[in-house]
Amino acid sequence: MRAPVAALAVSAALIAIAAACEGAPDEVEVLDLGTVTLSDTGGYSGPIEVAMPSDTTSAVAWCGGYGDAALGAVWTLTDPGGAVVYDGDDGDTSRFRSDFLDDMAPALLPVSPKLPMADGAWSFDWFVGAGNGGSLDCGAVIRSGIGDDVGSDATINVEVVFVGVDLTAATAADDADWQSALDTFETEWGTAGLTVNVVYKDFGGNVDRFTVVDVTDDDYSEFNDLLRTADPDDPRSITFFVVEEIANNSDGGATILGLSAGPPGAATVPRTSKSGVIVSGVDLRDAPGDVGRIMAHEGGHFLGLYHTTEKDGSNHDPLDDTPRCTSDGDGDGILLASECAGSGSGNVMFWTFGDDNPSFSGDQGWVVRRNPVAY
Amino acid sequence: MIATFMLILAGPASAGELREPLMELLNAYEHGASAEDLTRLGDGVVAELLEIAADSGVPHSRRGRAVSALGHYPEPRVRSFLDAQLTGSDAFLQRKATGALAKAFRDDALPSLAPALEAEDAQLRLATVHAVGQLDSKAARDLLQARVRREKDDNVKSVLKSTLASMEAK
Ligand SMILES: [Zn+2]
Repeated sequence: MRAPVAALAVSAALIAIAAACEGAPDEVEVLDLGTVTLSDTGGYSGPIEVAMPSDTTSAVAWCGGYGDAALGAVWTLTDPGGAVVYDGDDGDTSRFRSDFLDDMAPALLPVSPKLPMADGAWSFDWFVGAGNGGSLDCGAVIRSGIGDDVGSDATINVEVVFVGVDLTAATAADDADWQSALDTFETEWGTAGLTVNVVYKDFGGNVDRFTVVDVTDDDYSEFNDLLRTADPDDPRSITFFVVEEIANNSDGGATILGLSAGPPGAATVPRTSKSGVIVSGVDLRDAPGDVGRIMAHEGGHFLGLYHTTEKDGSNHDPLDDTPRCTSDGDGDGILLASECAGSGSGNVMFWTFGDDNPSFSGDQGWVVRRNPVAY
Repeated sequence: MIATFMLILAGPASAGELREPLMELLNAYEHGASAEDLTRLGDGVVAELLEIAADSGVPHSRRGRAVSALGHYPEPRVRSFLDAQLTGSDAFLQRKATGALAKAFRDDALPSLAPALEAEDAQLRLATVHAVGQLDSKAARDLLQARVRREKDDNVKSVLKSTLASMEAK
């Protein structure tokens, strides 16, 4: 058992930037949880409390601003009753999960029906590694007003920003390939009870820099910098950047189909390194449905979903009703979609493209409809 | 050990049999195919990757991933194919060929990559800078150093400078 090493200087102040989403029966509020100092060589934030009102549906709490070269994660989560419900030392991710992320570590509640929201003070303790700059900026977003009365349907506002692709905000509505991509995206999200409202924007920044987003040598600064430009008119939105390509040149130049902030993303919080999703548009003209599939999958990550089964079977999500594939029929150490038919390949959050018409499970729908960005 | 045993039992796969498992690897949302993954699929991978990379019926991104995956195989037939892609007309596959050439043939790829540093397409120049930047050699540094003086595009010049700086730091 380690001792907290951070000097805690948190004063929770309600900023109450309500994302007043037209027609929403609830609201989201942003809490400024202050600045925490810690050792630049790595350390713990110390306990940071977030008070959840009785009608809370969900929350995203974060500490961030520690730079693209440092990694952080929630190490301990304690519920309002004082029980430690997640401890990084024992690695049990069956109810809550927080992977190491660069620059900012958002934590979403709930990510599983096994750890539902409860009113009162939840306590988060982040660990951030070396090179963090010595301070963390912390905050939270709370969705409240309807408690757990979420229902089986929800709406999510989606802002699509075109960056260096042959599509613009003016042409997207009449572009058959783009509409085909959107149809697939909406169909897959529809299996979770989600309806999307889409608005378009043309990227206003340095198009040349972000047309091909480079993540060579695990340097995600270009990816993070593009997400830092996410600033939708309605903050209760997810921003999807459609770029020409995402490339990893330390992997022989391998192209990446899509990448989400997180998981989870910093829902309803604009202008951070975790404020959206980037999708490759390279298949738009010859396989537009695949672009829609990528949007559905990466958007699922943003909303707090993990791969149901990883490529090597080493990890699964914290949900009970998602299929877990364990049948490596040919013994090659790779759980292919063809080996996982009926046990994972039909899920949107499988690690690779599987069945032609994948869907979300009931628990996955439960999670995404509760996310603060949904209403 | 168990995996190796089962592969031996199964025997070497022929190229056609590998299309489905290879496509499933190439279809991964966030990652390309690693050398380890490809080795696990057994013999015939190079032939099938060459077919996938050249197949216009395969979605573009997956063709590009096949090109990149060829970078794990420094073979003459791969070199010919990658050189042809680099001088072809598909801008995306050109970019993928730069990375694969550097990965497979290291400094021996520099004669192919040098002309791409002079290309009109700024994104191809950028991809080539990144590819050459992966080569930790004096010849690679000299090539980028010569280009940085002539580069006019601010973005490419900036990446050239930062790539050279990181090569110097290694
Ligand atoms: Zn994924």
